[in-house]
Amino acid sequence: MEEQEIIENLQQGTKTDSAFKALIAEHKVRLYWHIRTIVKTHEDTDDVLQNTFIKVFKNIKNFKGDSKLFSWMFRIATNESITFLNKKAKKMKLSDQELNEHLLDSLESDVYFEGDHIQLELQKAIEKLPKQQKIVFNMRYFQDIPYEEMSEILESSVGALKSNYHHARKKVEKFLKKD
Amino acid sequence: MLNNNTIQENKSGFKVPSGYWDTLEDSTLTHLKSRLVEQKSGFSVPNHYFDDFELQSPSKENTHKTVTLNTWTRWLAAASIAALAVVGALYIDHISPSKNLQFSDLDNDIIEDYLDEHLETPEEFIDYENTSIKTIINQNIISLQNQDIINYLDDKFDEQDYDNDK
Repeated sequence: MEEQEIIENLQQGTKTDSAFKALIAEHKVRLYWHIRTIVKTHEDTDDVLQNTFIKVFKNIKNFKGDSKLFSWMFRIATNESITFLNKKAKKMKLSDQELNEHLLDSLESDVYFEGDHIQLELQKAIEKLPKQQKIVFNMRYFQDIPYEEMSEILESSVGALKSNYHHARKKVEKFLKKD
Repeated sequence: MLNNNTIQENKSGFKVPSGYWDTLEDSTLTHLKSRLVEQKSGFSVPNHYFDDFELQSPSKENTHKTVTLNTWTRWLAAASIAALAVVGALYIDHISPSKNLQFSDLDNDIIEDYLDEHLETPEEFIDYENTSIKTIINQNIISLQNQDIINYLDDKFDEQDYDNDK
């Protein structure tokens, strides 16, 4: 099913199940990894991803096509991830910083993290980056998304994104060398 | 698509449970339908309840025994139930929240948790098509003024050549 057909079916309420499944099949991997880099654990990622798709379903009637569907879903996923972490911090009575440390500490005992020492240190270094640089670094380094595509999703010029990535990489290198 | 998944796993060390991608569409659809019913009915079920749900067939054999009460014991049972109902009604009336529980008595945390759980939060009303990703990422932590400075600095770097960066 083509993207436009999926959108029309969901907006008109026809073939809803198959259209929704097709939408998930098309975007699940990229959205999953985007969310995972923010919330870290698989269980939390699964919750946020499901909530993202549910929000997409509930809001797709308002989608006018002013932006690309994936960009729109990416914004929803980003917002869901950050909101999820804010709620988690509030429930655990932790500051943002403390929650980050808690998430990284729990990675070592996470059955779904099989990274070596360097990969764990890399995650710690990434967490030190400013939010925008963190997202750019994750998209470029882990997901290999081309700058042109990132430019559309993040609404930044290619030059600005390259700059973000360059600064992020320098900071990560500095952090890893220091340790 | 799944190739992207492998690249990501190798680079990050993060893993995904085996078979996760195969069932995601169905589990999300089930989750969605459950949420829609919850919204309409007000009833809710625990998270992932339907994931492991199995129908337990009742045994065909009747394992219960029927005991007939004598007439006087029936009257005694009925009287006891009536007495309990009267006492219960009086007790419920006595502890009725509408009479004793004031809104001001509630702790702020309880009110906030209730709002988080039960009401549509402001993010429900975000116009995702017209809200910039930067606003979402920063969630008001960085003020507009600071964001303008960051945009300015980013734009100044446009001219640099980062072709060697990958």
